[in-house]
Amino acid sequence: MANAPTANTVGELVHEMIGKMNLPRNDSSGAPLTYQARSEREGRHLNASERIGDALQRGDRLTLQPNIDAGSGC
Amino acid sequence: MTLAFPYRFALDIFGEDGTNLGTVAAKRDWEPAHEWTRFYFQRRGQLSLDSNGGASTVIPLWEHTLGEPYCRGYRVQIQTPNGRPVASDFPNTHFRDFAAVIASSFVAKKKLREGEFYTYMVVAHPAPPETQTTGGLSVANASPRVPAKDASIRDFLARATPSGVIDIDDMPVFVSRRVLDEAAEQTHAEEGTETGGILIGVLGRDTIAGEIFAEITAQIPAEHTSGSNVKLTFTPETWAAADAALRLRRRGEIYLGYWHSHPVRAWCKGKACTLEAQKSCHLAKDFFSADDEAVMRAAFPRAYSIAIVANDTAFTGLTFSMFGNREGTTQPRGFYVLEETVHGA
Repeated sequence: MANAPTANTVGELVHEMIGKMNLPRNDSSGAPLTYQARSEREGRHLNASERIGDALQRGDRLTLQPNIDAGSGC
Repeated sequence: MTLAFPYRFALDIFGEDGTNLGTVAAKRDWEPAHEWTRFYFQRRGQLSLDSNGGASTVIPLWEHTLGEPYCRGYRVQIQTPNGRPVASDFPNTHFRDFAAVIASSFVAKKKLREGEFYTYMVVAHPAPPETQTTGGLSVANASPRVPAKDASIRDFLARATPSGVIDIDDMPVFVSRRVLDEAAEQTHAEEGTETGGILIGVLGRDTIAGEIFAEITAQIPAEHTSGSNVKLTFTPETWAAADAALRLRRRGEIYLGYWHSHPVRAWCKGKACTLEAQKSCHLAKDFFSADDEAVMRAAFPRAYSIAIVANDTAFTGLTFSMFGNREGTTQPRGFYVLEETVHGA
């Protein structure tokens, strides 16, 4: 990705990435899905409140990982 | 690759007497249809495995008799380097779930009576010109390639037993018997509680026919989950642990999907269902809930991804159902059981 404002937060970045990557924002009941960004370089999940300029470096790889339920709906 | 929408789709809802009750802008997840279209033509060699393809567009298919703006379906079209687009057509039934949501809201607004029969028509109108914005975040897929290695599907078929209904239009999927045995063992160990794992393996491209197929070589038990008899929660820590396990294996494997158990016997016990009722219950086999689909969509969105459900019922031994993207929707599908991994574990 490019043009990520360094003053923005990781949470804002994740929100925008979800849209750009056509990932679903809600689960099957319409409740918002939570995604966490995992930094490959640091081997940790980034906090949503961290600033992009503080948490990321050029060339960093991020993985968006959801908190999500499989279930019967039974 | 972003989908372009030169038209905006909407649903006209009609009551039992044919009265038009209103038009609602269609909200739909187009990506599974887009994914399926791209992979369909990659399997046939008409799109490269190395890219996401050219510009992709969703356009209406006009109804034969009524014409514009009424639709008989929609088309996902992908540009190719030679200038001739490839396309797949999809029916209006793809809007059925959304129509049901609208109908429910119309019942709440008293536009429809509870239980009243309704119909819907899909309409499309040219989209207003979009205001071009400059700057902002741009995202590109760093790994668009379908990582299929040359292989012989005949070698796999020679050692495999079909399970379920094999549809020749589905990408063949071979599952190691060991994977199913591990899933069964884990299901029994957690009896009454949903459990699961991540499926990993490799994609092959047959050197003779060019067909792409998948071999599920292993399952990584899902850690850091929370499960109940009706729900299994995958957390970011689950995925991080699976990433670490996949890297440790160093076998060039990729994520191919996930499996989880349906403790049907526990569900039935809770509802005091008779054995006869259990045998004919739609939850007993080939059931994939909206939540199950949501996991596929969020974590395994590629068209080659599959899901396996271990059905733990009271009236038969453990059975397995497989699900995958077929024509843009998640459908039950057949697969092949490999008694041994062809390339060694």
